[in-house]
Amino acid sequence: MRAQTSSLDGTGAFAPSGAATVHAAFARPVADAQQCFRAALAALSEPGIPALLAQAPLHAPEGLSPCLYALCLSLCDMETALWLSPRFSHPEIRVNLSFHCGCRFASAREEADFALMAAEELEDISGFSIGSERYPDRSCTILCAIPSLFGGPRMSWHGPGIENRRDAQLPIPEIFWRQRAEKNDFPRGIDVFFAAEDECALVGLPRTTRANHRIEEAR
Amino acid sequence: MYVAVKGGEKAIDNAHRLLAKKRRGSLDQDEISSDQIAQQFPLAVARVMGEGSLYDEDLAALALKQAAGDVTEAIFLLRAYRATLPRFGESLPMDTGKMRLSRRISATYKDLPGGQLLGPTFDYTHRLLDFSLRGAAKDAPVAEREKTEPRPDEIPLEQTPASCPRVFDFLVQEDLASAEEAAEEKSAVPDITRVPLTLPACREERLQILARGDEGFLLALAYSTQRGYGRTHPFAGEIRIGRCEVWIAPEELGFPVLIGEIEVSECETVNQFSARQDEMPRFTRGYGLAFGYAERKAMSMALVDRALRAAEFGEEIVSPAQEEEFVLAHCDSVEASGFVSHLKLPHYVDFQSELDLLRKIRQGDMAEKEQKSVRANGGEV
Amino acid sequence: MTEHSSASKALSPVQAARQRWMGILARAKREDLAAHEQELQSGAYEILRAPETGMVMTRARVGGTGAPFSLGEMTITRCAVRLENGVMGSAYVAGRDKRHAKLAALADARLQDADGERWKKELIEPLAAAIAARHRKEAAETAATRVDFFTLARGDA
Repeated sequence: MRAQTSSLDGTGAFAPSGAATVHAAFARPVADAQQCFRAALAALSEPGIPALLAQAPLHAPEGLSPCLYALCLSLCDMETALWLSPRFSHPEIRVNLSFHCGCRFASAREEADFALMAAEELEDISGFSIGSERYPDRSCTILCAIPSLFGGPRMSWHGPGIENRRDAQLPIPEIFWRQRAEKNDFPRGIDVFFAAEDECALVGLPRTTRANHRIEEAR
Repeated sequence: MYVAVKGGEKAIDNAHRLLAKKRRGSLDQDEISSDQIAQQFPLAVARVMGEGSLYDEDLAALALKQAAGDVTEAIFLLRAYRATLPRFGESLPMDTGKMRLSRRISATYKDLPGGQLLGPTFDYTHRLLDFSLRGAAKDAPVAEREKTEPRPDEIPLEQTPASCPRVFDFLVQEDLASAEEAAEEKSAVPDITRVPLTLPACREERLQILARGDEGFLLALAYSTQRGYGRTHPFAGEIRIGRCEVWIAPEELGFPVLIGEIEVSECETVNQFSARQDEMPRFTRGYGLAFGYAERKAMSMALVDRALRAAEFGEEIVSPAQEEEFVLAHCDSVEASGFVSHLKLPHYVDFQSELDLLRKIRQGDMAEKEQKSVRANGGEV
Repeated sequence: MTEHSSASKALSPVQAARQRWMGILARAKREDLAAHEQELQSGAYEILRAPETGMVMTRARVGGTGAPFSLGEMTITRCAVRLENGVMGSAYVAGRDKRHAKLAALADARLQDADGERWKKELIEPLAAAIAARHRKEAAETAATRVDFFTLARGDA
């Protein structure tokens, strides 16, 4: 329905017998997406506190956790460009997201409004837009699949939405934190949602949150 | 400094109750249904859809009912509802040339192919109140009505869209007007509801704003151009009202599909000729298109569209209708009524400061006057 | 109608047939579709996309033939279903009638299925005829308002 119709990258039509099958998504598309959006809002306003998703989609495409899929269904639409990391660049994921969200797929990181990534892929967040001084909202938001919301190195977060300090233990690559610090330049910056694979919960990491390792804190 | 003031909840509740009562009117009368409004106030519905920028007859009728017939309020309601709906996409550009016509007239050619089709029009009515419509007059029995109605098989169907070419086609064929062509398909069609407007606007953006603009405002501006404020010497080249197919191209289907038809009113004016450098003089054109049966709106829009093309034709911009910023910034009834209505909000503190200021100035004046009179009296008190 | 001038060239016969009936289903009166409701609903099917109402931005062209511009939005309801044997049916219908969209999606699936020819004969052709009859009637009503000019003879005849 766009002026420039992007092809489905050779995954072909929505053939019922093909490898890529369309599945039902939210049982109640509007209400479920709204509830999920509410959870995402809560996650971002209180960074580090896991927000539970009450509504899981009926059937997530293979390779995508229900939690992350719900987030995609709530946030992406025909006006957003979604960048898929190699791990998520599968026909089934593309076909279902295209069918239910109507979103475009960004071929370059620079064009992405949202990026779908796995935790280990956070080693490289170069290229994603941090918005402009005038439109900081035009930054890329990373939707990250994470095995669990715990088990990583202990860190201490502070900033808006956190009264004093909040402990967080996200199991993600160390280098991500350095890249993030270099990239963020308030009001420009990148926001991240971490969606757990072992439970239907997510943690928000807005650009305004400052994260320190506990050891550094102790010094 | 802002001071929060609370209170009035009970008064507001009661005011809403009273509004509902006013809307309902006397209980001696049957309540009107929104379906009745949709069916029997089609022109009011058209206006609400057009300026509400959402084609949905049922919603527009409901808005009219809820607004107790206040068209501007109904438009506001529809705009607000519109903001709650997701957008699935855009249609392919409608082909208004293939409209199923219910009306088509031209004031520039008497005997044009396809003919003059009057359709359901107020023209030629005598504007005398018809007292037979008072109250809920009984409809004439079906059999009675059918006697006077033309039978489909009695009338040769000459006005197929193909047999009703556009008036401008004739002028373009003779090179007396330039063709309206898509220079090159822009990668994205402008949409002021998605990308905020920056001036100068392109013609596509102007047309979108005019299409949702207030009919009264556009009518007044159009009138002003006729009275000499930015004269463009217009003829009503063609007015068409009818139903147009809407097609979309959903990605998963791989082909476009027809989703339905919408009624639109279209007007194209033939305006004073203009010659660009090294070119023969040609007629210029103004274009108007509006949802529903909205002839006056489409005509006003076409006149204002032409007036706003002044810069394009090297005309001097001297009148309000030619001023892009003036027209585009003020033609939206929701914005206009919102800003005027905001004056009803408490301005107690603002006003207090103005009062203080005025009192101080007057005290100062008085003191000065007293001094002057003292001086005039030679210093004697 | 039946096809769109700008984009119908490359369609396969199967796509062209589907395009035609989807357009007919979209413009059908809901009552006419509802008469087939029981049969359309019979048998197992999965709802891939529950009937959902949204908007489409309608576009027109400057001067009718020029550059596309955004005219205003209209309501639309879409729905997608899948029959047990995997056949998918879609519907995009102007307005907010969810039941209409669901029945149209089911009909689209049935029409692609083994029994498609029968559905075409029993559902689509009557609907198409009803639409054509409506259009004919409206066209005749308009045609009756065509002006026949005549010139009054003046002076010596």
